[in-house]
Amino acid sequence: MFEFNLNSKKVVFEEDINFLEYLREHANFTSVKNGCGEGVCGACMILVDGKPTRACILTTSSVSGKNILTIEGLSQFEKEAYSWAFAQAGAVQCGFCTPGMIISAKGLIDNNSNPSKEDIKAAIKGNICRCTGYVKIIEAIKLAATCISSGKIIIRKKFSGKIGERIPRIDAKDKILGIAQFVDDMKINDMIYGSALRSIYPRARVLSIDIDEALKHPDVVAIITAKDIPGNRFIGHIVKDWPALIAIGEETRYLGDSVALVAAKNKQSLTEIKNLIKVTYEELKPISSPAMAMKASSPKIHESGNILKVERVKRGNVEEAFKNSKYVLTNHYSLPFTEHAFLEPESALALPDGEGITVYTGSQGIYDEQREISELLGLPKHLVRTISKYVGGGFGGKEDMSVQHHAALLSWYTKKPVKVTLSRKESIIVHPKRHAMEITATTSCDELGNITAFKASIVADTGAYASLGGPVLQRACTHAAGPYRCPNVDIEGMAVYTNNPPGGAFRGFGVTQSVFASECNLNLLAEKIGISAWEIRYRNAILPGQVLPNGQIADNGTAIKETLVALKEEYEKHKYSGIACAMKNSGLGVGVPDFGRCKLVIKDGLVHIRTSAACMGQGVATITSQIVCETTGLLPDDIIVDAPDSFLTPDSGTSTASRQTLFTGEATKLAALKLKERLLKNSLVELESIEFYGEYQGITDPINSSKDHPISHVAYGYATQLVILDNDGKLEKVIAAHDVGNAINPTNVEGQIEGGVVMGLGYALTEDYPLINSVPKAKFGTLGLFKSKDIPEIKTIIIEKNTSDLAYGAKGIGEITSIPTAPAVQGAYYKFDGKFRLKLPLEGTFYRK
Amino acid sequence: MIEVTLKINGKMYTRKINPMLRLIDFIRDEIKLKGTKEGCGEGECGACTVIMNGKTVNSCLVLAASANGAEITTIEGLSNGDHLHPIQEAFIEVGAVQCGYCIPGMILSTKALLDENLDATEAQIKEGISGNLCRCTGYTKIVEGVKIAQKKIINSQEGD
Repeated sequence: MFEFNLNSKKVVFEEDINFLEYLREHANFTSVKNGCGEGVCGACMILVDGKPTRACILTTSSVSGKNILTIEGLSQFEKEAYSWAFAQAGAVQCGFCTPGMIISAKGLIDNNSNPSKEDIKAAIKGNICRCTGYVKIIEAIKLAATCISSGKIIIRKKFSGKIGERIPRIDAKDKILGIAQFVDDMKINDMIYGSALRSIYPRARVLSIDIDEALKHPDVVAIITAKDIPGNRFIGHIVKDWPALIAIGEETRYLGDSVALVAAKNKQSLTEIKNLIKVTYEELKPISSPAMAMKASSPKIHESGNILKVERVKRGNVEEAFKNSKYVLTNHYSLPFTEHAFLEPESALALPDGEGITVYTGSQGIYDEQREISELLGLPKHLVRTISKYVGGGFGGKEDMSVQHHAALLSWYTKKPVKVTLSRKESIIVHPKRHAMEITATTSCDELGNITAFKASIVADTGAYASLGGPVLQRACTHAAGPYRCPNVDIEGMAVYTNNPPGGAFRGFGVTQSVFASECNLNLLAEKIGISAWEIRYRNAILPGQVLPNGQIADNGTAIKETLVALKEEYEKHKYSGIACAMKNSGLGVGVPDFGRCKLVIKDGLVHIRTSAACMGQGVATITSQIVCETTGLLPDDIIVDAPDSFLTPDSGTSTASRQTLFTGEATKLAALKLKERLLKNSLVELESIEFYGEYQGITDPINSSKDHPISHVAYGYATQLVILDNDGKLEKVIAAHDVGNAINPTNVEGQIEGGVVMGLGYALTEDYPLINSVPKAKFGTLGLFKSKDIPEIKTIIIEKNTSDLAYGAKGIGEITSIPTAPAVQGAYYKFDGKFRLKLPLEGTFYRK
Repeated sequence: MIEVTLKINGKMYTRKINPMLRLIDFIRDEIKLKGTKEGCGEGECGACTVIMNGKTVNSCLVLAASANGAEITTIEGLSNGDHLHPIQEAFIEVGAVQCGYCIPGMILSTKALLDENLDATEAQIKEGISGNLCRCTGYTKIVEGVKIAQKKIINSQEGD
């Protein structure tokens, strides 16, 4: 019978056995390591009456009557201090010696609160470390001593992962090292290469396709045409109007249309083989503008006609309001097509997988791809697996199929792994652009500057295919009147097919265009009344509880006025300052089913976050990690974010509509709450293989709802941006104040704002995508992309006042960052030279003739 | 086919290649270093930037044959195993990475700049990376990252 105190508890033990064995096998104190079992290594160091001693050379009888301490018995503060100091100093590598090392350190520090380097060296001379060379361990002990004697931990680089913390992005290191894999970085045994032969005319009838010569090329593996498509040839997220390949007898609709697909043993031969394919066309005159397309005599681009969609947003009575308003003004604005110019060109790699197919992609939604590919191949969805690699930028331009379906078709046909990567030239021609729009906008106000009515007619050039043209037009209309009290609105929009490249999703989703018109009008009204551009916005800005132009009641988190107030002083201080506001929804809204989904799976003591939410650079994986940390108290190191994979990660929708932080964030929170409950009783290790599922549906009212105050969207972000010019008319400074609800990671939010502002500056001043007879003339070098030396100082102000607990109060930030910039620039130039510009990119500035 | 020898990240590589093969293809496809990215293939975006004999080049505009005998640094040559280059550390800390596609080229331009002029002013930094397009960040955090990298490098030199 032996008695001793173990970590302040009295223990009675019958047998006389090795004390290390007792600690590990009987008392379950596994911090005490068995490194050698012969008293040499010190990994089993414990304190016996305050003195560091090796457990392996003690017995239960020899410690009888003594006080024993192991790592488990340290106070909470000591645990934190030592672990912080060791992590901070980088003193932990394999970690096996660490507990013993800390025990030796404690033995020292308890008696000497300010040990010298020599003291420390002497204290750990019985502990062997093979990894670190001791230098960092000595440093760590020094740090720990400072902490313990001061009673404080100076946390500099330790992250809890909680909300609001600027934790480094979880993928930053891989990306920095260049080891983050994008699809084109992949190589698979037996892989071949694919490419599409594109039409040489924007509009032409395909009369014949002769592949005989091309098939003789030694490197050819396969050539396929429309007749080889096993499933539905027409694809498209909403309207299925986009043929994966143009059939013989059919008309091409834009220059990016594909006529044949080639698979070759090597990349270099693709062009040679394509050149051997003989296609005869009957060239037809392209319909190169909505005006041409809307003529009664115009040929039909699609069977359904040339109008894709008509949209109307109407409340109150604008004509009546115009009659009774002191000031009414009308302007016509012209907005160009613009190109996303994400830095990674589209790439996909498809390979046969049993009875089905696996496709590696880098897009904005793996389930969109799964659906489109399964329909195209005529395969059930469960046989199509889509997995995302890193995505090198998207901005809306990677929502549609561009290469994924072609890679899948070629792989299905050849039964080989096939990679299809677009050249930059193809990328510029193929994927949908920001819609060009022609907008006539009328705004009226009373003598105090209170907006009384807004009317607009919007004609959007939706190009050859629907893509997301319908919803883009709808957002352009629903958001056109801005974040203001405006009781009478009448906005009519029309999206028209042409033979130009398709118009589709692009950061801002139509609102970038319509808000340019309404915001510019406000500046002129302010001038007529004799108040500032800031003042007219402040007088009309929506307050919580008031009715937005779309009828929705602004919620308590609405902070547009706060964003204005944040910029007042700077606005007034500068001579050439332009200002503009915007609102932007988070989520699809208007009654469209919209789900965020997340599954947390515990594997090997780590939480795996599984959602299909695409990160195309905005950092959603870091956001979901922080939400799990916040909800459960776990640390970033406890978490792994798995890549989107249609076989593993639940469908969390597309990374579009600034929705992922809110939708997938909320779903992640719901899953994490379930995990948290289990963690009250169990450790992560004990929860091995258990899954925790969270799903959030954003419930909204349909666009044609009969309610007085429909909920069109679950949340809106608000923003005001200020653009300041110097005396030479060059950009001097941009200050962007954004109501983001609650910033999950402020560094990420700043990154979104800064990037969005520069994109907005380009849209305002330099970016263009000119077309001549439906033929795009831009090369990468002439798109007008801002370079680093072009940019002014950019200051971001984050306003956080949201009270909603959805996703901890986060609202979207991705798109709104680009919306107010262009009208703010326009306003600044109006002040600078008195020219009221009606067209983008602005002409006659420092940046463009 | 012609034989060329290039020293990439300190290692010699000899290959028989098509004389028209671009340096970027040599790096990505022959040597299989995938950190170097192709963004435009026309010398505009800078995603394929590598350091050749101390100067940055767009590897899409250089023929591998004309680089015969040259010393090349790619992104893979900057870090030492898991030990990051101070520029890389700085970019992570400041949040300069979003989609990440421009980053390898951006880092190499930064390195070439700081190797030549460690005290580069903000204007010189912007000039130094003006050949590298970034569509995500608006450059602000990248410029900040370069400034932090300057401090880190200066501190580490003082530490020596």
